[in-house]
Amino acid sequence: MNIVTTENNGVTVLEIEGRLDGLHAQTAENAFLALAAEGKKNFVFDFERMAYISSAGLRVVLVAAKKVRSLQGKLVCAAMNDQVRDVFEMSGFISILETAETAEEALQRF
Amino acid sequence: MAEWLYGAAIVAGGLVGAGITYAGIRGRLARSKALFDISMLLHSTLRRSEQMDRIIRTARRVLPVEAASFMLLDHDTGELVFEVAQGDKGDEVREIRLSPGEGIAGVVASTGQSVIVNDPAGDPRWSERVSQATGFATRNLLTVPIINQGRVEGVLQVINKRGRTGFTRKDRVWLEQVAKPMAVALENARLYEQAEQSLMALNTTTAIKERLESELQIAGGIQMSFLPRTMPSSQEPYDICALLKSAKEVGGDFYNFYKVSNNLLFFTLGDVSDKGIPAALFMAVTLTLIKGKMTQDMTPGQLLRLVNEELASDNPPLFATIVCGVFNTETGEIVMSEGGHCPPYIVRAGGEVEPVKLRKSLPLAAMQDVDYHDISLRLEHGDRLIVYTDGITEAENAAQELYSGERLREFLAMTPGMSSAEVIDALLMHVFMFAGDAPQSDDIAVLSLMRK
Repeated sequence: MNIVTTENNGVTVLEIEGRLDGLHAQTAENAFLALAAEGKKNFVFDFERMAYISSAGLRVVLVAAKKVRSLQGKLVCAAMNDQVRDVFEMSGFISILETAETAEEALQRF
Repeated sequence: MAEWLYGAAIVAGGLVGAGITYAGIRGRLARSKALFDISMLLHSTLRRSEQMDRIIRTARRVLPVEAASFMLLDHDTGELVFEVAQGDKGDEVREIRLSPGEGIAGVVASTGQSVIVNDPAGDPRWSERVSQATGFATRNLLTVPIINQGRVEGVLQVINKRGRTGFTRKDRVWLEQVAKPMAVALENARLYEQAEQSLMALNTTTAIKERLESELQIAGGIQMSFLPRTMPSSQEPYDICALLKSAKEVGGDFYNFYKVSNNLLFFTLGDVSDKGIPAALFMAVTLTLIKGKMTQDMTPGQLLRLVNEELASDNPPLFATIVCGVFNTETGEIVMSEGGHCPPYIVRAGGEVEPVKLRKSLPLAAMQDVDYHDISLRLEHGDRLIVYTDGITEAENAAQELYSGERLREFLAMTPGMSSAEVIDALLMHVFMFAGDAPQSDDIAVLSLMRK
């Protein structure tokens, strides 16, 4: 799993490539928390190249959503594939997360 | 008479001659014995400082000097380092480092050749530094290299030979003999020290690991004691069985079931979003809250709302997916609610497998002020309800394929007529055969409730 971080007009875009599963969840969470500690509070999670997410990966997204809310920022999840969308729906998270079809569209929301 | 005198003279002369020879032999014997003793010492202990101390003391038996020191060559810097020293000023020379080539010792170390200096002041190679630092007045000194396999490892130096003569060639040769085996002994001592340190580190780490493992086992035992161990008897009009299999000693999946009244059986099953000790603790709290709050008048949805408020108010970094329900043992009706959990299945007596369409809500502790919704369904005689955690559907084989909901449905279609215990056993077997050698990556929990 790989995370590519870019800045775009005050929004931090995290591109997650590969599998966000139990093995990689902690790395992803640490990466996010480090950015939040630097003062970032507006995020886009770009899932275009994320092949798979497990419940452990889901936890990272929830932790991020909670953190962003406490910082009074905003999180948009973009470009989910079918498997990823299913997991989010099953967990009920889809009702509390803002989603977008692409990262570009997500950036418009800020 | 004259012959007798002559004979006596010869004998006397012989005696005197023999006496001189005897002294010589005794001297040589003493030296040989000292060498032998040193050799024994080198094999007797592997602690370098002890060895060096003893060796030098032994050497001084044969070569009486005021002080002796042994210096080790630091191969990284080229400096000679004092390791041990004897004599009146012994303590003071322990810490000194000579720059490469400095002093007689430095010369010996760099050339690998022994040096006798019986007139230090007149010798241009002589370095005043050590003398000045210690106040030791050097009259003469003999320095020999310690060589192991062609490489200089250090230097052995003896200072101020007692008596009036300076150091002789014989002294030098003898001291070189002493130095020969010291190099090998030094290497052995160094390797031994390294091995000792590694062994100590290994022992410490092993002890810590063993303690952790035993604590985890204890925690696992405590955790299992939360779960109902006895299954209701065969007198009941239902057959319920559940199984928990953690990926580690303590896990995050949980289940529970108990009667809240004569004809109402409450059951729950869930999955904390982590593994190991944090998940286990969260799980214990969740189960306790559920047990504490559930009453016969409450619906599952109402229960989950209350439990979620409690858990979410502390804003923990964890959450728990959950499904729970109340089964009416007389009518077969089930009222169920869920939070973020994978869909349960009904297996009808005829073999049809239907997903239970629950109204989805959030996992427990994800957010405050969340509504949980109830739905109703009915089990006819012979129908079965299966609830499980995603450790089943997300079980992977070596090719990273998932067991998936599809395989689960295929399996369940084969189960009508089996008891709940049989179904659970068979399901675990099916999953593990699919997963093959791949290790269990997530906790597994399954519960089967059949209406007889």
